[in-house]
Amino acid sequence: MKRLKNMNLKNGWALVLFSVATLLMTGCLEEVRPDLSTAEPILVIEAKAIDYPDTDQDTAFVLLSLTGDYYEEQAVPKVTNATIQVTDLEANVSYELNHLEDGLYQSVFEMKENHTYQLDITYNGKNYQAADKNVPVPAIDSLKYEYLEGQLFREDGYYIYFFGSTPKEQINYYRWLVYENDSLYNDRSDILIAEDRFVQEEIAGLEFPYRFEEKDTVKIEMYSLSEDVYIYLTEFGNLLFNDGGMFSSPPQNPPSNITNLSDPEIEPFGFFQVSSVTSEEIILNPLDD
Amino acid sequence: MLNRAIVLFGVWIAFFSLYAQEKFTISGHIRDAGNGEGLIGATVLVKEIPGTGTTTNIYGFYSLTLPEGEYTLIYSYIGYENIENPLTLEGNTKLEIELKEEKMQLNEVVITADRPDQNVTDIKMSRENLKIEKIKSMPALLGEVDIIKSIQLLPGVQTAGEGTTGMFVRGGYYDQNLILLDEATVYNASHLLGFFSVFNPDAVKNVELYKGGIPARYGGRLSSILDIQMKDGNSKRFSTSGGIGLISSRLTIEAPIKKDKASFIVSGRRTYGDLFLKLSPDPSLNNNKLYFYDLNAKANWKIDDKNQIFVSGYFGKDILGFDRLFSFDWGNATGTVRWNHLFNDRLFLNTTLLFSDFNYGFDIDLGVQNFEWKSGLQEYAAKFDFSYFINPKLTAEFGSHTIYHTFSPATITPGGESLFLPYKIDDQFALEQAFYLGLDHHMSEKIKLQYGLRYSQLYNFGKAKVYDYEGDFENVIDSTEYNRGELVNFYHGLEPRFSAMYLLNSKSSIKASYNRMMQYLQVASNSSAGFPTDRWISADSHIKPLIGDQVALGYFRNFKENMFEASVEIYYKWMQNVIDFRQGADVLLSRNLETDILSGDGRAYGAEFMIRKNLGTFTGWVSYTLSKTERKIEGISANKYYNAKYDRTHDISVVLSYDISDHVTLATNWIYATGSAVSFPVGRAEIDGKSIAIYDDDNRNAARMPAYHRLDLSATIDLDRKPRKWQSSLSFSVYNVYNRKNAFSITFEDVTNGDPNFNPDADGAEINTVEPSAVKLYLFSVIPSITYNFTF
Repeated sequence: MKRLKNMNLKNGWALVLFSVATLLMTGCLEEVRPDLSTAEPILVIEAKAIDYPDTDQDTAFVLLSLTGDYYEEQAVPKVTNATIQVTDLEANVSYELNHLEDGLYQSVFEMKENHTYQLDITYNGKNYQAADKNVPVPAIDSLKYEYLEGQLFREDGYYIYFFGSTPKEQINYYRWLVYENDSLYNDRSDILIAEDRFVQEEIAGLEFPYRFEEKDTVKIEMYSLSEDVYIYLTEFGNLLFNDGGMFSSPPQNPPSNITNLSDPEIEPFGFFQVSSVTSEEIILNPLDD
Repeated sequence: MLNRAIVLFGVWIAFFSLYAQEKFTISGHIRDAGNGEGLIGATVLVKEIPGTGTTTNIYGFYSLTLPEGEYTLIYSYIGYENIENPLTLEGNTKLEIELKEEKMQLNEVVITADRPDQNVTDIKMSRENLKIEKIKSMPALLGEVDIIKSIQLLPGVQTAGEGTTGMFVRGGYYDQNLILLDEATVYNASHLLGFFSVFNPDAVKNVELYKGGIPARYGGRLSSILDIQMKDGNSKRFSTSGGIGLISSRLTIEAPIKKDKASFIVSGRRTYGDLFLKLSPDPSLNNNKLYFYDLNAKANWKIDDKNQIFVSGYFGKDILGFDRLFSFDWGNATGTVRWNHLFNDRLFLNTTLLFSDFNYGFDIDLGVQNFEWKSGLQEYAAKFDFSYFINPKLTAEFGSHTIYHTFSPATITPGGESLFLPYKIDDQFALEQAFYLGLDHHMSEKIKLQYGLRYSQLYNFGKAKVYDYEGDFENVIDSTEYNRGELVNFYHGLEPRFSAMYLLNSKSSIKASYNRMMQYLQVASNSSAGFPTDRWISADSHIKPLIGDQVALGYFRNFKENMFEASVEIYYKWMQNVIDFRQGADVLLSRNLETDILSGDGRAYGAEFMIRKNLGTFTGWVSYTLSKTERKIEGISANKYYNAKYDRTHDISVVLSYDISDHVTLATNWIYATGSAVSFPVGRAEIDGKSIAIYDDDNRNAARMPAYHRLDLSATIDLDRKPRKWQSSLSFSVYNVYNRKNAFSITFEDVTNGDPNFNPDADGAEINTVEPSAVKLYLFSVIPSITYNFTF
């Protein structure tokens, strides 16, 4: 029941339905290989500008690649000859990103809260552009852990609980990354995102859907997101679980917040995310408590 | 308007004929001699005047007006012995007729040219009637006889996918079917997420599906009417019937309250998979709940010759729960009171008062993620349906339907230490009103016409808040508040209906029809399989009613003394204001759903071929449908026409049964359908450390799932060879005999070690390869089942 990890109010019902369907189905899964057509390669942009706390060494990094044949097992081709810059629209300062290796570009500069940043990419004579705002992220008050006995859909083990608050002046969007002993959970079921439209200001005891063991070091990173990026990641996650339109909506590409200025018809894939991040670490050491 | 002129012309003829001649009326009911049930669609023919006659209505009532004289009336109904009744007509006459079921296997010689042949001579087209006995003899998934799944085997009816009970009739969406159970709308006809339909076959008498040529008395949905009548209850003697199957058991009790005057029927069904779960010692299993039940009850009372009352109700619920973590339930309830009143021998009125309710709720309790979610809708209706049997050539139906709707889309209540806030979407109120007049006009022995007009209206009432938007629903610029009961919005429309039959010769005819339908309620859904959580919405200030126009043309021919009935129908249907949703639309929880709605047109066309044999030891049908269903919606698929998900180019059904002896019946179904239209990837991208399929959003549903086909077999064996009170039988059924692994879905995802069932959390799991793959989910392999049925 990996889907439990995506638990939130909106897809709570989907989870229930999915469970019933699973119980009912005497059926099974089988690998097949329907013939697929392949579209012309399209630019894929994964761009992030992250404002780290208590430092002026904030980072923008961009990963550029092209789409490929669906069944191709080799990694997709990387784009190494693009020109990329990020502009702080409030301060009117631009930063050039340098190509490090394998399609990864980077620049380090100081980011400011509530500033909007613009991404400009030139590749193959075409210009791509996006903008996103650096929304402040509230602090994590604390993390706690607890040992739980097993029950349906949950093994016994240690579980981590989140304590914090979310300002109610506007709707906020978040993403959490969870590291267990420095190793990031990064499967399709690990896209932990939330909006706070339906929840209270105080978040006391929100469970992370991972089971840990004694001595584990668990790090949680919490990123603020704009609505655009939240929608992108929601649709991105939905598409990774899409069933072809039976119980899901018909598969569609996630709506990118990046536009192709030279050729608007050919939209790039990917997104530009500007975030503030905060993090908290906890060591599961029950004997010392 | 031409159609208005036709109606006026009809009324004029009616008026004229009233005073033209000295005439008398023969009227009454035709009933089953065994249990007193009214027979629906039984025929009365006048032997002396070929082509003159009438059929009974859904209450078994008929009325025939003839000039003074000597006549022989032939009363007949398929599977029953004819009665010939000579009579001298000198005054208005009441004739209550009881027909006996033909006990012996039908001898083919019995079929004479006298037997009315409705396939050719009746004006009905695009209409399917399934006898409940036929439905019961067909092979069934897990032995559960299912009315909707049987209907899916008829030409022009598609499914969403294996095992689902959603119906797509001639290119219409599943919410475009009006499903009536004793006149009450059933909003969600499915159990267990759609794997079974809610109709208990033991309580059902008659099932009629209208795909086109829809008479004026029906309205409210674009594509089809599924009219289901419950049994009235045995008015002759106490009887019990029931069955024990693999997943459910059924029990029906019916009896006279006063012989031939009043009777009742109570029928229940419940699944019991969960009872086995309780036996498990594992607490994570034995605390789970998963079951559904149905209860049908009906009583009727013949007060006198002129008045009869029917009270019927349906109550069904699905309940499932996993420990205390979450529970989910949904159900329908309907209640109907009907009063048949005869003003005189020719004017029949049925008055219906009804209530229908659908609701669902779920409860989630996962620590601070704790809330209860409730949703529901109700309908209260009053219907007045008159039938006026003017003369043997002209029958008028007219009346009024008033339906008041309330919708409560979602109310969320946090519980305990929940982190959620309370949330509620405002209730919505709407009133549907329709007036109709329809005429059945037998112009001559060769020409029959049926024409009419329905005038429908929709009123939205407060309390409501209506937003004004700027641009394409981009920003709210203003809003208007309406008080409770205040009129917010109004729609109306005329729905002309027309059907014609021209008899070419005694064996063949041509039929044609046109109908316009208006639909004011629909389901807001962006998936293709129906859900209990489907949100029904009313047309309102922003959402327009659906409008559908359909033309159909058919050729009907019988062979071998009416042994074989064959038909070919072609149809074309236009649909306006069909909706879809913007990507990422929050269909269930949005307070401003209109901002997520995209609307456009739909079109469907096709040809349906059918050959059917209803009589003899070998019965059944073979049908083939060639069809196309497309939609064109602003904002989807580059604003071009694209295939509807349920578009199936070819669809073949073979449904046969063979009585080997008086005690053994074999039956088989074979189904073939083109795979549904889907979007498959056109490449792959790597984003966020994950491999993701990419799609061509400008060409939705351009690919096809693999073709679907399946063979089912069943055998029904009577265990009691001697005619006794206690009769029992065993049904053996094998679903998907040749074990076709029909794809329910194909997903595009990474597969580890070439094994789609790979579990990374399992002990010793080692990851060798992770490759982008396609994974097929298939639901049912060969499924044998056995059901025991009894009646006494």
